[in-house]
Amino acid sequence: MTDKTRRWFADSTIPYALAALRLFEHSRASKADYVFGPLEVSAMADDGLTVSGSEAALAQAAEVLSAIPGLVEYAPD
Amino acid sequence: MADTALGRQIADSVRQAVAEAAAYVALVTQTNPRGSADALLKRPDISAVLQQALDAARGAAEETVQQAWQGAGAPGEHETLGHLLTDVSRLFGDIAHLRGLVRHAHASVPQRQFVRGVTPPGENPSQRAAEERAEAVRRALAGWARSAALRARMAVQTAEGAASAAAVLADALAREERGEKLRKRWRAHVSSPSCCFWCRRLNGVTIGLRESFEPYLGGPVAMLQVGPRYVRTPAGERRFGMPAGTRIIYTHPPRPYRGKLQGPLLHPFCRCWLEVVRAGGAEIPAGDERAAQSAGFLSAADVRAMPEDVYQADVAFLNAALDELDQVLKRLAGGSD
Repeated sequence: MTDKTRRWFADSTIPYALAALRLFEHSRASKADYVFGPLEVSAMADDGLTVSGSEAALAQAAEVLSAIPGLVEYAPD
Repeated sequence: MADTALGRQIADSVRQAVAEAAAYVALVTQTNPRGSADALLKRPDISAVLQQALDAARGAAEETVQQAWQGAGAPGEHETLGHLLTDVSRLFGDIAHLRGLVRHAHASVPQRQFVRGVTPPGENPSQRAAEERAEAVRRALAGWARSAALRARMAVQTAEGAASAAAVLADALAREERGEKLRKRWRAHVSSPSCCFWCRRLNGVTIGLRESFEPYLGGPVAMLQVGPRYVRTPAGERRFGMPAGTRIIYTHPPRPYRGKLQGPLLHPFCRCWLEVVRAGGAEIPAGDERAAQSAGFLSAADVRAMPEDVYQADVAFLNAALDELDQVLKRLAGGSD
C-alpha cells in the first residue's frame, strides 16, 4: 500500500516541540511505522509536523497528536 | 549526469537521420514549384524517406537506451527500462505527425505566378515561392528533429540514472535476503547551484528498501526564489481554478516518472543518486548542510533502534527545549519570569 502524508500545524512553538516529543516517545513505546519531521510548507517551516506512513500508522500518530491543544491538522493536498 | 556522452550521441544521431530526410523532401518540394502538398505526400519516395528516418532514429535511440541501462549494471529485465523503450518507440513511431508538419509548412508559402506588367522582367515568382516552401519544409522537419533529439537524450539520461539506482537497489535487496538490515537514502548534489528545490528536500531522506520516496516530496510550496507567476490564459484558469491575473503561489513537486519513486531520478537531467545504509545508523555525511536538515525526518523504526542512552538523552534534550521555549514565550507575553 502506498504511504500517505498528513500534516499538523502548530499555532505556537510549544505545541510543535511538544508534538515532536510525544511522537518520539510513542515511536519508542509502540510498533508504529511512520516517519515524522518538520512541516515544510511555504513560510511555515518548522511550525508543524509532517507525518508519513500507512493509513494505520497515520491514525496512530493522529491519536497522539490530537491530545495536544494548539496543534491542528493542516488541510490535505 | 546532466549531459552525458551517450546523451549527446543519440541527439546527434536523431538530428542527422531527420536532417537527411528533410533535405530530400525540401529538394523535391523545390523542384516541383506547382506541386501540392497532397501530391508531395502521395509520392512513395517521400513516404519511404520519412519512414526510413524515423526507423533509423528509433533504432539508434532504443539501442542507446539499452546501452545506457546496461552500462550501469542494472538488471536486464526491469519495468523502468520497458517504459523507456516504449516511450522511445512511441516518439519515433508516428509518421502521420511528420506528414502533418510537412503539409502545414508546404501550405505556409502559397503559389505565386508571373503577372505581366507587375512582376519585374527576369523574375520567376513561382520558382522563388518553391524555394521558400522548400526551406519552410526543411525548417519544420529540423525543428521536430531538435525536439525529438532532446526527448531521446532525456530518455537516455533517465536510463543511465534510473539504472544506477536500480542496480544499487537490486544489490541491497539481495543483501537483505541474506539477513542484512538495510535502508536506502536519497542523495543530491546540494552544493551545486543547479540542484533543484525538490531534490534538496529529498536529500538525506532514509527509508526502507521497498518504500517510495514520493511521500517525502511533501505538498505544494511557495517558491520564494523565483519571480511571481500569474494565471494568464483560459487554460491556466482551468488548471489552477483561479481567474486570470491571480498570482500563483504554490508550486507542486514534479510528478515521478510513471508515478513511481523508488529512487532517483526525480526529473530529467536529475543528478541525484541512491545510497544504501545499515538500518539504525542514521548518521548523515559531515559537511552536508542540507542533509542535516533533511535528517530532521525520523522514522519510528529508527527511534526504536536507538540505544537506550541515546534515546534518554534525546528525550531530555526535547524536554529542555520545551521548558526553554516556554520561558521565552512567557517573557514575550510580558511576564518578567
